Amino acid sequence: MNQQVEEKVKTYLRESKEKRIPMTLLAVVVAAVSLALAVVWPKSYTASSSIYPDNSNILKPLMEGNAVATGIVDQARLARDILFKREFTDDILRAGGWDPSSMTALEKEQRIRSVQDKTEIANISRAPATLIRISHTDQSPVRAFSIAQRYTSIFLEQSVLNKQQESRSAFEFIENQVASYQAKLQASEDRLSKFKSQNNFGTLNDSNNRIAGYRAEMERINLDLVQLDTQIASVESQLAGETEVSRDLSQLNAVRTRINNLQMQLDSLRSRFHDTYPDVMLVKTQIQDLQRMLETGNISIEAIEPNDNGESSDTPLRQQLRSQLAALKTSKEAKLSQLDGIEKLYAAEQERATMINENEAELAELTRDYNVTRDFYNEMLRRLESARVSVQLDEQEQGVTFKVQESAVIPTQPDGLAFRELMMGSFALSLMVPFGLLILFVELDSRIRSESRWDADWPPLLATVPPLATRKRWRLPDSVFLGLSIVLLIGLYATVGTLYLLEYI
Amino acid sequence: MENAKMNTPSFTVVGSEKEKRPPKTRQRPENFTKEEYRERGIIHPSMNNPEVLNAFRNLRNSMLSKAKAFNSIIQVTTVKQGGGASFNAINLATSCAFDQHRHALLIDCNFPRPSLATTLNIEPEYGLYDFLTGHTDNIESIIYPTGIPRLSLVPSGEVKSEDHVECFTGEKMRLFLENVKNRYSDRAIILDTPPVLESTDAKILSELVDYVVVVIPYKGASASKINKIVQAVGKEKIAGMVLNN
Repeated sequence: MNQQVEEKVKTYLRESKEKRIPMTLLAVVVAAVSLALAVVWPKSYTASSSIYPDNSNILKPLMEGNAVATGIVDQARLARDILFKREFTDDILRAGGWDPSSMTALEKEQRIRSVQDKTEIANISRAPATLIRISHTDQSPVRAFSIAQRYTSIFLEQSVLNKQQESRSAFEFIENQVASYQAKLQASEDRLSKFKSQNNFGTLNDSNNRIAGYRAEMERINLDLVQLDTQIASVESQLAGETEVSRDLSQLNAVRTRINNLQMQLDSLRSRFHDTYPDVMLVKTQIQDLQRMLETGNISIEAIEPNDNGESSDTPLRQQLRSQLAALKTSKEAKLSQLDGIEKLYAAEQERATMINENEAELAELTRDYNVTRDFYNEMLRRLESARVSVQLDEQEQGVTFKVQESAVIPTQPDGLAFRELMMGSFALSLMVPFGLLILFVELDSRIRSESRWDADWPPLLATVPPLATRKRWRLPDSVFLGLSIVLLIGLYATVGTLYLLEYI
Repeated sequence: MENAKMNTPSFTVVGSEKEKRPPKTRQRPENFTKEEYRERGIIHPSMNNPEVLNAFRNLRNSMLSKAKAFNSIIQVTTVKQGGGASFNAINLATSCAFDQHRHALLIDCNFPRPSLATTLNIEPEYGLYDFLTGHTDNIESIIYPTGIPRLSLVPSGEVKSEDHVECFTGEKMRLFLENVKNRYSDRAIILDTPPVLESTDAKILSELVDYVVVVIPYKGASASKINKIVQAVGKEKIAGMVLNN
């Protein structure tokens, strides 16, 4: 204990010695007042019952997997909403021993408000469940019990009704859902069949097979065409070579024929005209030109007169080649025509494949819609049957799982502290109040009592002189005084306690 | 005649330290017994309460260490009536007289409420008031031996008027203090005076003494009151304070 605390304790002890008489009187007064309060303080009794509530919603198992039912979180609040309804006012007042028929509306309102204020409905956690505790506090233990019990039974009755209503509404809900899904299923079926009837293009697989066939045919024809082109080119080449030879011979023959014709004309002219006659001269010149052509081989086409009958001089080979070329070209034309036809078919098939693709997606959607609706419909049908059973169970009060965990009983002990504890508290108070006030007084009093309050600015403190007893004056010794004070207090408490035990107070 | 007497004191100031102590004019009373010490609230070396004894020894030692000489004049005053000035003055003087080679002179200057003569069981014929007012000019006649060895007392005497304040302002008081101080170097001089805030005597006397000791009674003064005392007497004059529990 440091010096400062020691000094304080000494000061408190000295002050308590100095003020022992007022302190003792104060202790007695506090004891007497607190005991009187403990005796006259109105006692209150609380009766309570606890109920195990069924937290499961009727829709929850029925809709499990398909829907989520709203969970009930605060059971006590719901219970309070039920029990504090105005319709139960008369019932509760009768349970409390009042006659509601003889009360005015205002009196009833005030009375039920008072009852509700003293009624506590709370959740209490008792693993694994949360219970509802209904408790009522009253100065009369019997009334506390009656009201708590009545509230409990009202709650149970209302819970049954609520459960029935709940299961009935759940059944109706599911029934509505079944009807709704039935309509949806019908509509889905209609859409699917209509679509199928309107879009009969065969399957995509068939179309793909056909496209592949067309593509193979076109490739084959293209190959044939290439082959025909090669053959035509070959025949044409042969034919070209044969034509050159034939053309040279024809020109020479033509020039000779021309010369012969001109000679015959010259002879005729000479027979009639001199050599100097212009026509003779002209024919002679022509003959000379043609002869020169023959000699040089440089034959002018103008010099050759056209064949009278227009026929060329074809060789047999050339004729054969011509015939072969014509056959090949005919064959090529036929192939080209065939290719064109197949290409058109190919394009048409591709267009059909695209349409089939689009239809397949829509068909899949329609089919899925139909399947889902059908599944839901079937599930709803099954649940509808379960709900029907639940309704029947609740109507026969078989489905309710509320049970009273702890029934209300008539309380035997008042609330709060027992009288013995109040007496102990009063005793403690009777000691604490005088000492507390003393400490408060010493701490708040600014007068100097010890060195601890010495200001550094003041002259030095040379000495602290302890109290010195001088003349012997008679004074009740401290120990005797303290003993008498305690005996006085204990006597007071013993008297009050005895009177309480003997039920005089 | 009286005034003239006051202005020219007839007593001779023979404050030489070497001068021999004058012969006792009175029979010295019996020393106090332990019971008498206890009844009168006076300390003695063999008392049962060593805490009080040590407190006054400490006070004495503190004063000696502060004072330039043993025969300094020390005024003991307090905050209020009944504050313990007389008790502390007697015991401070007694503690000074514990030493067999030293003496103490206690002067009761508390004219409104003199108590030292009663406490020390002395029935004086003359006192300080008588000397200051000229009823006697002989200093020896107002110094009384006490039941405490080496402790003498100058009682207040029978104060007959309310003008005692003027007694302390006069030259005679100053000369008296000089005389008793200078007479013996081994004698401490302690003045018991009224409360400083309730009487002007204490304030006047504080100007004549060497040191002032202020007694603060238990719960007797707040901080503001102590500040007033310090302001009234002067911090340099106050040797220190005593907390009288």
